[in-house]
Amino acid sequence: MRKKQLDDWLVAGVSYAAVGLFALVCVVPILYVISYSVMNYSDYLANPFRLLPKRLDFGAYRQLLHFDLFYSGYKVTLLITLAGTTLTLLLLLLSAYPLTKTRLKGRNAVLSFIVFTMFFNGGLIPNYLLVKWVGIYDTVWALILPGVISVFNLLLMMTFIKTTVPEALEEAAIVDGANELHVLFRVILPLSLPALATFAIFSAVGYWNSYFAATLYISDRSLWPLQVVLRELVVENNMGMLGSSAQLQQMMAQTRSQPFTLKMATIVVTTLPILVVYPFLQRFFVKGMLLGSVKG
Amino acid sequence: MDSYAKGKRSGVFAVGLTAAFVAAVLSGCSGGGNAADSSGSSGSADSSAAASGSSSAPTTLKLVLNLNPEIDLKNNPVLQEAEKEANVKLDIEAPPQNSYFDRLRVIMASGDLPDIFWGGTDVDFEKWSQQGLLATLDDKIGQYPNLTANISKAQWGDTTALTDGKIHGVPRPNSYDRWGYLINQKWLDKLQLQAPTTVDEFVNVARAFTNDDPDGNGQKDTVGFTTGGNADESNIFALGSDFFTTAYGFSLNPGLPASDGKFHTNATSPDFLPYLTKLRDMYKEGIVDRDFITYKGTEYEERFASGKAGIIGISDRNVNAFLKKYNLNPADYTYHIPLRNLATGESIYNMPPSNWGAYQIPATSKNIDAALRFLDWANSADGFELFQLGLKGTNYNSYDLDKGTVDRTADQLQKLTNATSVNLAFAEAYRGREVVVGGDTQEERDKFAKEALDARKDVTEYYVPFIKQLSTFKASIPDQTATLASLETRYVTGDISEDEFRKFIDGTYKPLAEKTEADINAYMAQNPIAKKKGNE
Repeated sequence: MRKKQLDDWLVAGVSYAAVGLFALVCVVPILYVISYSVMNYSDYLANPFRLLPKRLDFGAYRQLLHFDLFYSGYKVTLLITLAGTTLTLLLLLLSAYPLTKTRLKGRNAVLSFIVFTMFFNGGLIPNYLLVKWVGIYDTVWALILPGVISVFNLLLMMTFIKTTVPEALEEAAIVDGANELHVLFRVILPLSLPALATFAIFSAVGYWNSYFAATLYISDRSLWPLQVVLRELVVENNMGMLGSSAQLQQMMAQTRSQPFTLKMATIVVTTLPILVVYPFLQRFFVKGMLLGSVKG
Repeated sequence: MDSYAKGKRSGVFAVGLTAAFVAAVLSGCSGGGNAADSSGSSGSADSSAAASGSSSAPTTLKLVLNLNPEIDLKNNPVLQEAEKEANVKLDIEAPPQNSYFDRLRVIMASGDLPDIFWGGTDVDFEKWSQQGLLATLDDKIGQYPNLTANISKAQWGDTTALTDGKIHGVPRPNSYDRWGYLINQKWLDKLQLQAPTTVDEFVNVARAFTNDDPDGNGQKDTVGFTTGGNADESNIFALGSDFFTTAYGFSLNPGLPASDGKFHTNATSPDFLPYLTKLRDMYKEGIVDRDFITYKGTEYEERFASGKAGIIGISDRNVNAFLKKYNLNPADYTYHIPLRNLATGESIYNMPPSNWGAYQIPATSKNIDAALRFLDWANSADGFELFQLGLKGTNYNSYDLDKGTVDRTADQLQKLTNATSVNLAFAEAYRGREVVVGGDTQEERDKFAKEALDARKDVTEYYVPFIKQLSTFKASIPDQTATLASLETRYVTGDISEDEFRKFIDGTYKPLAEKTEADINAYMAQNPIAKKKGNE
């Protein structure tokens, strides 16, 4: 009996140690970024491997807050995240529900048309031209509409409705006098909330982190989302090189006099919101991974 | 009831079907991935610049430019002044810098072209010239006095396409860089050493900086020399090590003759292995910063600024700005000219004509003359000063174009960062010289004069022409170019032997490079290097 207890303790100890080590591996980079963002730049230069700051210095954050693009970037990202996610959910529900109905005329054709785009798409330049021709180039819609629905998510949503909402429930609602809109919004929608919550998170994280569409479709700098601003500040280009003119060096020294800590501060500020909400939404991520994996 | 329900249902389904169609179309934009991540001194030239167009209504010019994020394009006082002065309306599209060239390629492929765009003058430039996408300017540039006065014949060579020998762009003229090195003078003084002038002295100083505790902290935590920051290939050849590589007849920019007097691609030069072997020995001994291989951007600068490395390559004109940027005491660091070439005994500044890309005008533009007129004005003294220094009174108090000195406060300089930048300026240099020479203060200018200008008398300046054949050759054999860069690095780090390295160079690379080398030697015979002793 005592030996079994010892074994249990041993197994638990090793498990905790392994999990703890893994957690440490995950947490250290985050700590590193936060720590360097509040580190005095001279202290950093003197010892670039110091994990904890010798003294707190918010100079990098002050420098970051001087960038107008930082504020507009936040606004744009919040807007596209909220609007994009709402639109994604609405379109998901409105398109997935009817496509679950096998008796719907033209269903197979539409479904084939949709699934086709999973395997073949126009490519970069046709997409660019399409966005220009439909008149959303250099507007916030160019950041929302391309990719508002993922075919894969649509198929998952269809599977979810099919497997979770019994047809008899719809029939019962209709017998009780509900019309189609009532059925959709009072029966299907409440029962689909777990799936929609998961898609909402995936979509919101996707929109929050999106930058590629902006690099392609946006010219107006006030419409750059946060991630593009982050990339411009964090990713090195040739501007810091010692071969560039003294004038450039002088000007860079005005706005980016502490490049490394500024990078870290930028990363903190742009990832913080998603880091804060993530723990509360984690369970939906887990659920999302299992969505559609088992037919009920 | 059932039929009623069915009828009503089909109505909702029809709405749903429409939504599904919308979904299909929108999903088509995304492929199959997850939502938004789906893609995942002025002369007569100046006066005539924009004058011919000034009486007429302003022409709207659409420009695609590579601008830093600090620039505010809305209600920008510098742009407004430029529009007024040059009688144009500027419609500027400035994609994010980090994806500038990708966006430019998409724009060019889409056929929806601007009137002027900034770009490089290598592979894409050659391709677009060949495809007829770029206007041919040979017959036009003679009409624009500032363009011809501010851009030298050698600089125009940069926008002369190899394919047809015609000019397809207006260079953004830059001033010359002279790459020497900055050394920690305090360390030299403490160890009672002199700044090195030869490769052997350099190795000895680097060794002492590494082993003899020059910072006096009792720890062996310093290194002799650091470099890096080559964005294109490996860090084995970087501008930061030009002061060292020119001793072997190499530079990041091609054009220096090898010890046999001929011109080679780096790998086929008889001096290639001796240089790499020297670097390999230094790497093995630990007297060169072993992290230099992986440094990106300005990481190597930080290594030097942190007081852990004693020598760094630098262009002489940037010493003061660099020291200011990292808050270093100017008295503790001194600038020196390159190490003497092993074959000739000269200290060499490799000086290809310096441009910072070029402005290209699509052949389909309806505003080619207006575009050239604007670029001509931007290359005048007025245009140069406006785009470089901003507005007088707002961004500076006074400026002496002849001396290159400016009187401005830190606050004025701060305001300038949102209004213009050297990225927005259409000329980086006026008549061969950058806008501010030596620094903003007299102290900075004195240091520059003492360490950089005076030292030029001991340097031979090699004015080499643009050699575009080499970049075209490298681009034509991307796999072998990547392999060479990888093997160079592996050889220096001791990962492969000399025999293994030679096998690739002799067996694979040399045969490929043969024709290019012959072309370069023929070209150099027609465009010989002008050598000038500094300050002549």
